[in-house]
Amino acid sequence: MNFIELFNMVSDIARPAHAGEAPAESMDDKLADIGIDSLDGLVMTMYFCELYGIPEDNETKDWHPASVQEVFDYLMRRKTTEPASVEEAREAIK
Amino acid sequence: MIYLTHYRTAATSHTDLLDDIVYPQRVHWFPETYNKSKTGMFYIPHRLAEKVLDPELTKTLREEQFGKTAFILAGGNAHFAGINQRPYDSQLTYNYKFLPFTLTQVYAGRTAQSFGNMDMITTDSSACASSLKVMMDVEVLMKHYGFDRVIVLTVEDGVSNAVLEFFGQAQAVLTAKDEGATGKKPSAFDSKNGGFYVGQGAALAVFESEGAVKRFQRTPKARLVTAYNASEPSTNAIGQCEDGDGFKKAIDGVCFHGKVMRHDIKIVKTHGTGTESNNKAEKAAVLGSGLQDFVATSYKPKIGHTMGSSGLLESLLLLEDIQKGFVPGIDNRTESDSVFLSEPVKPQKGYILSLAAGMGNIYSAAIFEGL
Repeated sequence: MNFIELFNMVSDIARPAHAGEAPAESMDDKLADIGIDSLDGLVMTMYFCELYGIPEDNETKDWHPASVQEVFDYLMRRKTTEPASVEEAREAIK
Repeated sequence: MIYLTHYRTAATSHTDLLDDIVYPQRVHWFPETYNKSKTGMFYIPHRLAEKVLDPELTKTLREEQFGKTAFILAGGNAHFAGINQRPYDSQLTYNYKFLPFTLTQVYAGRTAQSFGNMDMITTDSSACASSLKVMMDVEVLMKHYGFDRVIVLTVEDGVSNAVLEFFGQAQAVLTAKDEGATGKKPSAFDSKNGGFYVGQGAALAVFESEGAVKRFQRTPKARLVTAYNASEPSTNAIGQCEDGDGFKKAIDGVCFHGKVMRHDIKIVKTHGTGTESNNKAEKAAVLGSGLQDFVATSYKPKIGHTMGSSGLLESLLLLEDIQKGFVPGIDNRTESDSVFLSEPVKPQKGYILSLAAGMGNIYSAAIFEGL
């Protein structure tokens, strides 16, 4: 599964409709550069933790990734499950 | 002049019996709003709001901005009832994963921005009067502070463990037990039937100035003539004075401040919960306020009590019905008189007086003119 595709799907659901399209194109993209503000980040974290079976513990609450790569690294390190496809993930959180 | 230029409503006459809660009762609801709610990622009030947050309309308003714009979220009782955690489990139980995002100012801010640049964003929690109460805010903002557009979103999920238990315990709703024992059906201003079911409801209303109407060549649906809020001396913050003092003050205030002649009011949309105390209080006020040659109706027997959304939502439904050529009768009413309608009638030309009341001794009145 292409993680950038998954990331953009979650971003699309989490962010307000008017936020405009600024999809991530690379794992190195900085979240601030693609228009993801602190509130968007909190909502996206909630969705990602659900999809990857990660507890909302203190470590997660203190987690403030700055790039798409940092999001990916955290999810891979702590995952207990993972979605089989972007479509399956969409179904789970929409 | 303040014009209602766009609106959307969400309400249903469909009911289901919820029998796994503390006070089993029928509710008017959209069951799909509770789908997957136990994951904590889905906020039921947001799902309700999505029913009226039309993406095409938000896009149009975003592209057609003029002057100053305000956004008001009227969330009714959601500030005490929005968090639904209860010590027992039912089909309605859920926990929020992200607490500040229910019907708070944070949600208002996030939603408001989808309508474009905002000059003011506020929330209101005036219980069941909330959405009609903010009509006075709309009037003040537009008449005295130069706003050209005020967008009101009202939404409340009355169908939640907290609300159903509270109203069941207070003996305010018609529970399954009451229905079984008395055979009563929801109605209002009737000696045989009465009481209400709780309902889910939401409404979105856009009020614009004459300048905005001309600039964007709108066809207004109605005019908000004036609005007023009042209170009454009471020792019971969840009851109503049965002499109708609060309602009377609201009616007197809206007529006085809006310079409206009482004989110009031809239709009254009552709060009309059908409870014994509301029947007495509102009937005393409506019949004792010097109104002449008018009819009165209630929407709650049809769509349930949509709590904070009810005042504005029911006013919009009435405007729609008048447009279709009738003022609806009050469902399940067994009596007949010239004021409180048991059957639909053709609307007379004139003003519409909308009334609402909320816990905490608040009474709201607004006058609309259908166009």
